[in-house]
Amino acid sequence: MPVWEVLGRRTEGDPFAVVGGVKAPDAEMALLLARETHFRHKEGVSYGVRRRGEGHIHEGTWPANELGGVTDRSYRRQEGYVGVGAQMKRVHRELAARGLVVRGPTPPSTRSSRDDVDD
Amino acid sequence: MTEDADPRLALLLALADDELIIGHRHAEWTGWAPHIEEDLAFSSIAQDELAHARLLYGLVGAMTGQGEDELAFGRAPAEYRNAVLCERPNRDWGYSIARQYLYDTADAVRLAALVHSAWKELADVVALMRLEERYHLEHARAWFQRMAGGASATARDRLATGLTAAVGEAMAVFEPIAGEEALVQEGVLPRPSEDLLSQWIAEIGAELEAASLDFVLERHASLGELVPTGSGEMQGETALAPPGIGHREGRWVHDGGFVGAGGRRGRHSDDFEPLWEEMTSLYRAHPGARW
Repeated sequence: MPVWEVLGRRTEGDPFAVVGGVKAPDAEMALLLARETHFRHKEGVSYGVRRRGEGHIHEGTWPANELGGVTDRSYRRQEGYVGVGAQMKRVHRELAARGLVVRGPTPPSTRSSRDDVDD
Repeated sequence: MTEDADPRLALLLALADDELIIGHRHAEWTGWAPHIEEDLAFSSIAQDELAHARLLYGLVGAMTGQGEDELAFGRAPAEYRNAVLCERPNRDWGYSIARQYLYDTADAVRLAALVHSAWKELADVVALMRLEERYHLEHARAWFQRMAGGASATARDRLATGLTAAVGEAMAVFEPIAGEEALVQEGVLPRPSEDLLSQWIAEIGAELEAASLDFVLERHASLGELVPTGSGEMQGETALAPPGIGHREGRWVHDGGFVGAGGRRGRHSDDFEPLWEEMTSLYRAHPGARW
């Protein structure tokens, strides 16, 4: 099955940039699948596909104001952690003012080698 | 407020429940479609359908004071008004594409009428829905044409089998709703269901003929689960008219009956309860929860 690069313009005037790829038998199906997989949530204003290794871009015909759907998709956004970093900093500052230091776990500075792993 | 008191509720619940339940079925393809691109495509379409149900439940809520979750998950099975077609399991890709094609072509016909509704709030919601429903039609027609095209005899056969199984029940998308006469009189429903059904049958009849698949319109009657059996037995408490699609003067026409009708009155198939159990389990475990 041929591979097609998916290209998109984030805003009007942007050049086309590769944003992903789909497998499809021809340009018509590639455009359909490109839109369904990459441009259903307001990711850009126009899109196209280019068969890998070829130069011609087949452009989608959906107008920018309709591309990406028009109904509420806010539930897709992960907003549960919004402000968590700022809250942590504030707590650290308050505790530091009382002479307390929070020592959180820190990630390892180097990747462990096979030698460190017990078989 | 009840559907008897205001038939607009019956219309809204028919539209919203169709979208909710078929959206739920589409979402079941996530992770199981023939390839990952289609996982996402059916998931996107499912999200659209759920979003449309939410818009319509919003109109219901404005009349009854009920919330979206309460309407979507807080009702008993017999209170859902979706067409039986929407609740059927996905079966295989052939059935899923056939059902999507039949449902979305039928939905397009009724939405094209409802966008001219005298009830402005409904007309506005429908105008929004139609912008996204075009995605669904394009998806369904692209797959329909490819599978019907005959490049793969297996694909064409599976599509034909799916169409045969689904077309009778798809007619019941246009099963008249309670209080329809009043809705038509007031212009809320600009055209009667029977009129919309005739238009839809003529349209899909022409498309199926072009694909040499119109034979599914003649033999669908023998395969629907709610169709009278050879011994004349009927399922359900009310006798259903024999399915009716006829061919007269070069056009496919409605011949006066429905297969699988009853959804608009809360009569569902055995496939509905397991779907309902799963779909509403979280809400029933934590009634009134907010997230």
